[in-house]
Amino acid sequence: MSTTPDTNPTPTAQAVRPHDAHTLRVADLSVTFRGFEGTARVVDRANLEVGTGELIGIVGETGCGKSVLMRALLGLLPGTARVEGEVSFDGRDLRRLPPRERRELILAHFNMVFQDPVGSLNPFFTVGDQMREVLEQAAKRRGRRESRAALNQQARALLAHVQLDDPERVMRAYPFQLSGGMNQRVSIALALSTDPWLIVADEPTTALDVTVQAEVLALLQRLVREEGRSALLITHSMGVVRTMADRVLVMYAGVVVEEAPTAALFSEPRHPYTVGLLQCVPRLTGQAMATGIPGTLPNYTHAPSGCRFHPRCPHAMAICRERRPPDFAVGASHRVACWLYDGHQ
Amino acid sequence: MEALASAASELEPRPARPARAGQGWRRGWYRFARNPTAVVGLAITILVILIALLAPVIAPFPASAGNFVDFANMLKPPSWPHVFGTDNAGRDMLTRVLFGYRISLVLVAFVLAVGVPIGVVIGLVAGYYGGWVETVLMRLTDVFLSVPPLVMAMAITAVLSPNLFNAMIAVTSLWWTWHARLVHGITASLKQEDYVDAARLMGAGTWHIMIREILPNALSPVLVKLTLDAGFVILIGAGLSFLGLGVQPPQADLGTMVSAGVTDLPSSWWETVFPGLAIVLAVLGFNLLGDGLRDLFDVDV
Repeated sequence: MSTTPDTNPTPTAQAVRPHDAHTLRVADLSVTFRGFEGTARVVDRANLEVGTGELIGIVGETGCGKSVLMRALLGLLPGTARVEGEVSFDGRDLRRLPPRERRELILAHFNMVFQDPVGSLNPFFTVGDQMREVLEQAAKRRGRRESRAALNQQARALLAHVQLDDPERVMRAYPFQLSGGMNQRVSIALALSTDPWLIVADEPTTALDVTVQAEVLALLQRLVREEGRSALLITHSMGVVRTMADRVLVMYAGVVVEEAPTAALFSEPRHPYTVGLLQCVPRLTGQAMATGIPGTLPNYTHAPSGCRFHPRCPHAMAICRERRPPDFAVGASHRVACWLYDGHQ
Repeated sequence: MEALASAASELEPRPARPARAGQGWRRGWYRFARNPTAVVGLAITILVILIALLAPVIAPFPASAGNFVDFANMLKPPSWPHVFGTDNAGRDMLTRVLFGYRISLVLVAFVLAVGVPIGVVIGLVAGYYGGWVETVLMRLTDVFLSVPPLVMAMAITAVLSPNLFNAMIAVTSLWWTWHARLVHGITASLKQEDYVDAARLMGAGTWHIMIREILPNALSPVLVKLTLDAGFVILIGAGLSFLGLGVQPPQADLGTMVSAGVTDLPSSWWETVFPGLAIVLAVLGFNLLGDGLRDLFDVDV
């Protein structure tokens, strides 16, 4: 509905219609929180670019600022957060738009799938109630009023689109009567009700059984590949990004330390943190135990000077303590924020 | 062969049982009914409400409810046809007790119907917006909370004239506070739920989020508290009337009746004991029901 007033009444038909090309650019985005202990810069000058049809993975440990970065994009941070930098969509800086236009732009192009599939649905209403509600609102925004039967029809189509077997039964159920995987599919269907160009998925499979994880990931992948959407996939699983993403951003303590096409990242990881993360992945070949990275994520209110990773870095040099490394290009669209690559071509 | 076929059909995925309308209610009743005291509470509450509604029909001497004097029959002990005896104006006590529930329930209905929505809205707004809105509204609530309801009601009815309406206003002016607090706490935690963020991303406005996403999930504690409140409101109303600040004679109010009978104690005990027992019964009923609902919904209030 972001583009032309559509003539297709069913969401499935809508969803298959390719999206226009858009670009989302994040430049020097920082998020700071002020608290009793001091000021915490939870995201520090992050850069990111998403084009149409791209599936971008963001990996990092719990607490590294992945979710805060996404929430900053979507305008979901609490009022106490201070956001600086630029988030531009097709060249328009979201942060400079009047609040109403910003909300409308986000509504028209972005939507999100949450980590906890049960918590992202309202426990008080049946799935059908919730689907009808968002579809009715979506129809209203297009200046239409839909009958209940039409809304039911659309809801069933959306649920079938996310491969739920028995839409009728799911519609009558409350979220707590469905399994985690089913709820996550319902959440995806709800997110699709606004026909978003960008789907932000915040650890969408972390709360699910392994068997269901693969199905939900395949579904997300299909929504991007076949329907011309884009996706930002936040995860702490290297395995998930490897199979899913075109490009990967590695975050550590609020800083994007490395960005690379997926193949390059896994064949030639550059940042010592990325190297450490990859060594943490246990291998089935079983020669050696995963090593892990010594130390823990730093305290944000007293973040290490210079490179935030230096206290845990096996290659730390004097300069790492003093100055924050800029992004160094180390290959085709491969950049790394590490002094080891100063002057590297 | 046939056995095999039937075994195979057992393995077929069964068509999902269609959810029937009203199933939720039946399940709720099933769980509620396993708690005998709650069922007793519900029965008493229904009985009290029926009595209040049907008082003119079931009362043996409807004239006794008002300004009626029959000195020939004054201060008769419980006996037929005056089962609860008569008061010092010769009025039938049973009739007056039955009519007394009307006034008690009018008070409860007014206080809860006006006070609770006010408290719920204040709590929702304070909890949702946070910041200075929350500070102002909740500190204001604290100020009202710090005044004991009976004292406030005495002050208001003493300044205005003592009657049922002013007593209702007085109790209502304080009764919203606990609901504001309750809903404030729930809202502050529910607004961080993912489904609130999800609704916001799908274009929901502030009011929609407060009314459609948060409020329904805050309703069960409010309902429980409201039921428990009913008993306390009856008590406060009776207390006010007892002190002469509420309902005025000759209207049949339970508190007024207890108060009027005090002068004739201990010889004419039925003048105070029966209205007193009536108060106990109603308060007990609402409290048992409230406790049962609290267990049913598994909430803290």
